[in-house]
Amino acid sequence: MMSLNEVKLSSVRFKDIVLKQYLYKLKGHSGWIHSLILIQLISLLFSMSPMGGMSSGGDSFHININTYTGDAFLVLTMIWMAVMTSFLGSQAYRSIDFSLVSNRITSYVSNAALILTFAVYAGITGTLMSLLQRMVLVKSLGESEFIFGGVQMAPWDILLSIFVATLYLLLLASVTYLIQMVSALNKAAGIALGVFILAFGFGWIRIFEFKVENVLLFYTAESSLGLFALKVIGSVVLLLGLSMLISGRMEVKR
Amino acid sequence: MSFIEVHDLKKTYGNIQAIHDLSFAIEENTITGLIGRNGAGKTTLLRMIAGHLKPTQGEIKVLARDPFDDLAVAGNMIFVDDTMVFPDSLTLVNILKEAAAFYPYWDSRIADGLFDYFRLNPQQRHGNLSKGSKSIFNAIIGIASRCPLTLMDEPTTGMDSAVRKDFYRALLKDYIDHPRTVILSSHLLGELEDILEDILLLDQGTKRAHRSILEMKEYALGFRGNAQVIREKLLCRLEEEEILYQEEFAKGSLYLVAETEHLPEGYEKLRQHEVEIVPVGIDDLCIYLTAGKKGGIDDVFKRG
Repeated sequence: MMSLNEVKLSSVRFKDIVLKQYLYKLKGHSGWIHSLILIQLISLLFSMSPMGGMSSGGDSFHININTYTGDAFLVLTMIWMAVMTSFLGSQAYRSIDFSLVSNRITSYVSNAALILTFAVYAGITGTLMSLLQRMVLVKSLGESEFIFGGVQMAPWDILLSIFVATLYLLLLASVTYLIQMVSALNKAAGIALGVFILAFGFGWIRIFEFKVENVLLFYTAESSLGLFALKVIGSVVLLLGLSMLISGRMEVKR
Repeated sequence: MSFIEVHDLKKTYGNIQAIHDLSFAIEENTITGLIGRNGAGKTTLLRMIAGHLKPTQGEIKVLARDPFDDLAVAGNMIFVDDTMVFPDSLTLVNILKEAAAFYPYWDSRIADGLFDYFRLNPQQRHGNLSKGSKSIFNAIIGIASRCPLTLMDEPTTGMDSAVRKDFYRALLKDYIDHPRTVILSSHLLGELEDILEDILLLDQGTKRAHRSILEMKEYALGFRGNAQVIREKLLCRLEEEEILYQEEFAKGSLYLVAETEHLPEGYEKLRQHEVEIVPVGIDDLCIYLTAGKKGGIDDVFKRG
């Protein structure tokens, strides 16, 4: 029986759903942003203590050199990124999409957009934190102490730092996502892939005579920014494409 | 063209056959109860209709489309079950707000009204809800989203009986105001019976019956009385598969349930021999129709 109030079919646009899912998950996972802020504040504490130093002196003078590093920001931010990405790729989190309107492609694309957003955010805040570190160090300087390298960073250097950090985070995220996708298909294969990538990436294994000294060098040793960006973006597209192919082999929700 | 069409559907998980030889059609704007015992294939069937699982063989058409991984079907469908997950950073009231964006016919008045009525805490997180409250919340989303295709897999899990009744009433009221195609799965009919129009009864992965509630009410009749009389006048004139159930409930007394359409003419005359003829409730009927063997749990103990 027809009725005036009958619910009618609505047309569904791919773009709309992706955007809605993206915004929904951005709000829904905002707790992760808070965890990143916390992590970065903790790493600020770590980086306040010198990681190395030397001192020498004579009868009339004494020199003490302390080395500070922002590595803690990078390492902890990278760990955060890897954890967050593997959450996003997990079955439980993918079910979040399928509890409302979704198909595999929209879920995948909105996740990719989310990863990109988080990488940019972490890249920016990570860089700003290292600026903050310098400022705090300057404030804590005692009498007859001074800082090498200056307090200010050129705006160009800041942008460069953000860009490079974001690219590294993206690379890490796409590797993590691929591992998560393979695990969803087969747990053992996922673990094996993770161990393999870790060992391969850091050059701990050799295959016959072909010794992969250090796959990471492919990226880290690149001195041209353009080529570096191209290498990373190419790898990211390849890795994410691969995880999309793998997720396409699975049933939507198990 | 029916809203949902299923032909020779088959679904296997490895060696296990979950669904086989299943064909049926569901018309637009009906409420169908998907009834079956544990493991009858209800959830598998619903997930295939929702497009979450791919059939091993056969086909499903929803709105004349293959629903598997199809956005057009997904956008017009909601699948309510206990595996629904919502982000932990959102409170319940925020989830309602966010979910509204996905559904063009979302009714926030109904959503808020039901939310208040069932006294859910707006500041709570979905992951911390009790089983019953989670089911209530998921059901509210299912009703308020007003999707042309609303699938609910055991929506009342964990709800107490008062809440179950209220939920069925709310669903029925909203359905009458805004007709849509609803499939509700359950292993027990009891309270569900009053809101359903059709019943699709599954047994061990295949269809046992697909009829309207009215037809189901007339599907069988029960005969209660002297065992000898019933055996002589009725039992011997029926084929084995036309007898749905028989039970000796006291010495020399028999209760027999048989399919109405196969009853011999003049069966009413049994009343003269003090045989009671009684209608068979739909939930009992469904149990008889899906019973593994003739007899029941009693027979297990007899053999022992």
